[in-house]
Amino acid sequence: MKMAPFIRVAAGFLILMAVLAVGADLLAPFDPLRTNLLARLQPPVFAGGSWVNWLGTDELGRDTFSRLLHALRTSLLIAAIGTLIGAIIGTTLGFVAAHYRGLTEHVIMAAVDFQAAVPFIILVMFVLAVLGNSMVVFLVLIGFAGWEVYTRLARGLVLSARQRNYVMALEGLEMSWPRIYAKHVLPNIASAIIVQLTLNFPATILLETGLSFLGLGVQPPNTSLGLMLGEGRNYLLQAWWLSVIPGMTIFVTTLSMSVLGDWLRDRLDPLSQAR
Amino acid sequence: MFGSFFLRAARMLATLFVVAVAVFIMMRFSGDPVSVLAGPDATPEQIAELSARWGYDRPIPEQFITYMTGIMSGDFGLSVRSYTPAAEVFLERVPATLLLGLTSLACAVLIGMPLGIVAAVNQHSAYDRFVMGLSVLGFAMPNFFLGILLILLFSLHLHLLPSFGSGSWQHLVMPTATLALSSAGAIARFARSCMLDVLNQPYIASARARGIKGLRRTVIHALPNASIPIVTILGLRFGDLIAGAIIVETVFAWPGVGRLLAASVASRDLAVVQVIVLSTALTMIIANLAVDLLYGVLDPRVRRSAQ
Repeated sequence: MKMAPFIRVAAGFLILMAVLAVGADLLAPFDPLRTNLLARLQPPVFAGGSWVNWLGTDELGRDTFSRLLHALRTSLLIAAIGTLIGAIIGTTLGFVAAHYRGLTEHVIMAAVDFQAAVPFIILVMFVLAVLGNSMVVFLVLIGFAGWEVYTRLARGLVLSARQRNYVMALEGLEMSWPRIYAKHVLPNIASAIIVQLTLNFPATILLETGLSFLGLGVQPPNTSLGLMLGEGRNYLLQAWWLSVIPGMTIFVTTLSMSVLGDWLRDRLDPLSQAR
Repeated sequence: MFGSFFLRAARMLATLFVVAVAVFIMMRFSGDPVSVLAGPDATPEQIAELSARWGYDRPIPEQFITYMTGIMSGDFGLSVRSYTPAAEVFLERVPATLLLGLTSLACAVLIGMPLGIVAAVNQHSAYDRFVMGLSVLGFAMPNFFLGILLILLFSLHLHLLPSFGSGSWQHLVMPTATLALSSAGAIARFARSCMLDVLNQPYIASARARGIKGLRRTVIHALPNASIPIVTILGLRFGDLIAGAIIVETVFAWPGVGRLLAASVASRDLAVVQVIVLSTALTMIIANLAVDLLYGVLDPRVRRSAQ
């Protein structure tokens, strides 16, 4: 398996981010909530600061590096859980539409078209306004992001799989449909869905960080990369690093994930590679 | 053509009705709307008086009919924050968002389309890889971060542009750039793939065999056909611009609908949120209908199959 150098860099960066996120408690030099009013808005080491708080401190004197690790963990966790929920709901609906056809399919596909037409962030904001913000509501909403892509994809793949000999043979052997789908069709279409998963992951990160940036997502004292950036925005003049550090972390993470997703798609789908 | 237009318009109205019903149901799920309106220290008598005045003591089906007739006549209720009609609060903000959205869309198309088309013509060249690289960068860059970087560079460092507000063309530059750059990447990518589809078709090969030169082949033979699907994506990009405007308007304190939505969600001003959601749905549905119609105008095959 040949990997271009920048694919390796992207993969390496993502592994590093994952390790930092998982080991946040062990790796953080300070408690991310511990304030120190004597050391407020300290610059990071590359802007003339000290090695004690090597990424500087925020307006309450909290260590930026420790906060970054915890923010990273929150953001990656939400994006990962959200992407998985969306994939499961969307794929299931795709199977349902392809199996029952008729009215069921029409209703599901109409919902898909509607979802594709209206910006998802507006629906999320509407529900947040109605139900109020809580971590559970927020996570479920993020989970619905992009479901329609999986539904469309899975429906198409299942419809074509049902025309294949192996499925017709199993049907003739009177195997139950749930079993045919779970044991035989799903493994055959899984690679396409996994590629879609990697392509959706960056979009999910951007949705979560965007909402948190607006103050409508993750709430303090918890923190996410978007919330850190949003808070740092108030100190642009005195402390640019407070917004640039979380911003760069989001940017490089989504960039690495997109690059990796594109590469994976090209490997698994030779047709798009020919382009 | 007209028959299919009416069919589409009917389907559009049906979609809008479903959205309105969903919004109504969600709003009634939110708990007691009166207690939000009355505030935390209202007495029971005040609450009873308010719910009688706004009709919240009526049966739900009756409330629904009142609600629907209200929507039809442009009555969306009062904004909890300003005690003025929500529709007015919303309409006041529309021009600013239209200005920002349309300028950004125009910039995005003017940047993205040529980049993508030239990349397709020179497929696999260094230029092609460069443009595709840029488009990935544009996708991965969160627009709130891009906006902040622009502020740091052009306002705080170079003192060239105002960092927030509106009123002059200078105020428009950075929000437009932020919105347009991420959209331009997606448009370039899509334009490239549409153009490649067309360039690989037999009629282009035959044009080449007839000795039609490169530029003429690209512009006169390939481009009209490639532009048809590109029109579709513009309809969809429109939605992304609305979504992007929420964040970009907040970053640059641009007095538009997006910033109003963010502020209204934060203060749970449901009447205003509802106007914005319904109008966005309406706008998107109309945009899609317009794209469908334009498709028919651009492509005779679509027109004939619709008849």
